[in-house]
Amino acid sequence: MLHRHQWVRTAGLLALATSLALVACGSDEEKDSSGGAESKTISVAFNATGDFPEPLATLTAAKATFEAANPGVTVELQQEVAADDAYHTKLQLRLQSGGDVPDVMYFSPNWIDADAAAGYLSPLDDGLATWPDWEAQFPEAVRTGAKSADGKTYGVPMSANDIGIWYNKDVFAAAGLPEVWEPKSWADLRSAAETIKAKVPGATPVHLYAGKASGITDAILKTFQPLLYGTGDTLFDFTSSKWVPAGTGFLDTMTFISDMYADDLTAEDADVLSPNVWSFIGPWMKDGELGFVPDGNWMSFAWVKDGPNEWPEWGDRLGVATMPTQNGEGAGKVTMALRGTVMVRAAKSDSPDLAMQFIQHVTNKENSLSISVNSSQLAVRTDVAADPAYQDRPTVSEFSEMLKYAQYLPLTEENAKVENLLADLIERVALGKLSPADSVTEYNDQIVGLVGEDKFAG
Amino acid sequence: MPMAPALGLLSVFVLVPVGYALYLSFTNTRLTGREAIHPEWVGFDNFRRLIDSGHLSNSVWLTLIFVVGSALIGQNLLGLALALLMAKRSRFVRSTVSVVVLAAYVFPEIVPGFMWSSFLSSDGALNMLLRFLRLPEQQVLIDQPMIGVILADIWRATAFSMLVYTAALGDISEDLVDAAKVDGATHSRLLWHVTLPLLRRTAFTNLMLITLPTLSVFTMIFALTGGGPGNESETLPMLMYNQAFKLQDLAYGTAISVVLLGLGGILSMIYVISLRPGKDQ
Repeated sequence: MLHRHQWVRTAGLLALATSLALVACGSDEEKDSSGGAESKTISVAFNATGDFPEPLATLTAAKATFEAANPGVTVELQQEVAADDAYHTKLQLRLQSGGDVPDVMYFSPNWIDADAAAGYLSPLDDGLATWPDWEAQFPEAVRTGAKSADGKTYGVPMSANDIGIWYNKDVFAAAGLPEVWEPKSWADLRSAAETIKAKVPGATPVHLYAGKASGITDAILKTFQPLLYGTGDTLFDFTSSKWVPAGTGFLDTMTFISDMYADDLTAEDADVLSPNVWSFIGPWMKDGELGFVPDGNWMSFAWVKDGPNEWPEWGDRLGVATMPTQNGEGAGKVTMALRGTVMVRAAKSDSPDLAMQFIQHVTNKENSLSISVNSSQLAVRTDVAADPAYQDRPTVSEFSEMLKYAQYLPLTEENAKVENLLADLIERVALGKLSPADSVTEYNDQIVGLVGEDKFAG
Repeated sequence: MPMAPALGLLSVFVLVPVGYALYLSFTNTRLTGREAIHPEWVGFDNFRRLIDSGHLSNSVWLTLIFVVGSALIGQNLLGLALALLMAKRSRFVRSTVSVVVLAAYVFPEIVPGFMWSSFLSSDGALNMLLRFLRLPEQQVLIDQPMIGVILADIWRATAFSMLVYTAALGDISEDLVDAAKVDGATHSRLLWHVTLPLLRRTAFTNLMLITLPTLSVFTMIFALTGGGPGNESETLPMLMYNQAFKLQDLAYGTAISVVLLGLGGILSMIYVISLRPGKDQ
């Protein structure tokens, strides 16, 4: 037991230690900002993990070439070894406190609108107007797509992505399914899964992303939306820019997911709920343990040379199909097109001009090509798309081809709220804890409260 | 005057943050979007939403299950049992058991979190054992997430109760025990009529000391289930984190923390009143 005077002394020491720590933090920040406008250091924040190592290699190379071209300038790379959601939350906390913000950030495009509205980002329009590449190499659709609701451009895209169905030709052959697979309806997806279940005992027929833990948007982008758009229904009316209530398409989509899970055609619940489920696809496909999976074009990062599951034959052993519409209606096929990752500039950047120069440097031909090839993403620049190093890789043509069926996610401030509700409903439906009909009711009950009366057409 | 440093520290590190949290919970501050720079005063909206959405009832219920299951029953009784069993054993047994139990306690919470996560996972040690015994496999964290997190938390935190009770048992006077034995008390009567009544005040102190930390357990649940599946293990601290940092709704998350603070306040009041000196000494 400490005596009273010892307590006082301990408390005093604690107070002293705490204030010393505070002083230490304070002086750090002062050092950072004292450079002011003349600062020749720019910091670049990005996330990269062992499972998905880009953009580490590209940014490291870009840092070296940028520093060589601009003597006296130091590029400080701030890597977060974290998944997108956690990385973004941490960035937002830094941006909100405003003390120590990175100048340039590697960003997911669906974060832009809300973060721009919060005043965290600064528009790049002035810098883009004087950059010849912007007009010459970025197609008009890309430039328009990069604009936010307020008409300004906050991010320069490095790549683009879409969702298709990866299938394992060995598993398909063992099940007696065709080598070139072109599903025409949801029924075709289901019957393929049933055939695999019956004839290939060691393989999981299909993986449909449905868990929240691997990222709120996974189940929405890869499972829910490609199905929903195939019904002709939507959650957001692009012409009026308003959210609409869930209807039969929503119900059919949830019913399809629910049935596939209930009939045990999907991966085990424990895997579906794992935060790392996306990193299982590489080994599952390589080892012939999975029949097919709707996933992004970037999945081949797993099998390329030096990837986490290197597999030289992947280009021959895997096929890519386009997601069919519900009963083959409309164009018959659909894909979710995602604006790829972008580089943005913080509103509180100490050296905005240098930051803009670095963004231009990272999105030049050499570095864009490096991102596209290293992480298996689609090109946005015309010169990259025409480069043999980009074109000569398997599945690039399939995924580029299916962009003609592209559907896009709405990009609005309310997205995060709606996505969270949706992700929650999808997970519960897949696990059999919520009926598809109840998911429609629950969605319609909550959506108005989330987006507000004026953004809802009901 | 001697209180000044303590009061100063208290106000800087406790009162100011609590006051700020209270203020935030009455606004619509978010981590992003327009409300991040122009938050508005919204009165009791966040609290109304907590009740209307069903978040509050679900999470308060799960939090109570967690506190009762892990702290009141699990850690408390297991700690008492361990202390009683160790009391008259050899030095070797005592130190071996203490080291084993304490080892779980000294690790940062995330370490037992990962250990239990791999123990309970579908290909984990538990299922390997069950397979070996030809018993059906269990997906505890999916089918019964609350049982999973409660077991893990008991395992981690029992050491504290064990230490408290061991110390209290050491304070029981030998004379009293000898006198009871001379009067012919059996082991069970000795335990029931002498030892346990003497431990009553220790039990209250122990309960107070373990209830409050258990109420705010975050890391263990975060590592094991993240509050899921769905919201089946979303206790108040998990709900607070998910709403504030995953859904970026800072003000709503803060309102939840205010509820958590209130719950902790009520529970400690109950204990403080029951511990009041002079009552049936």
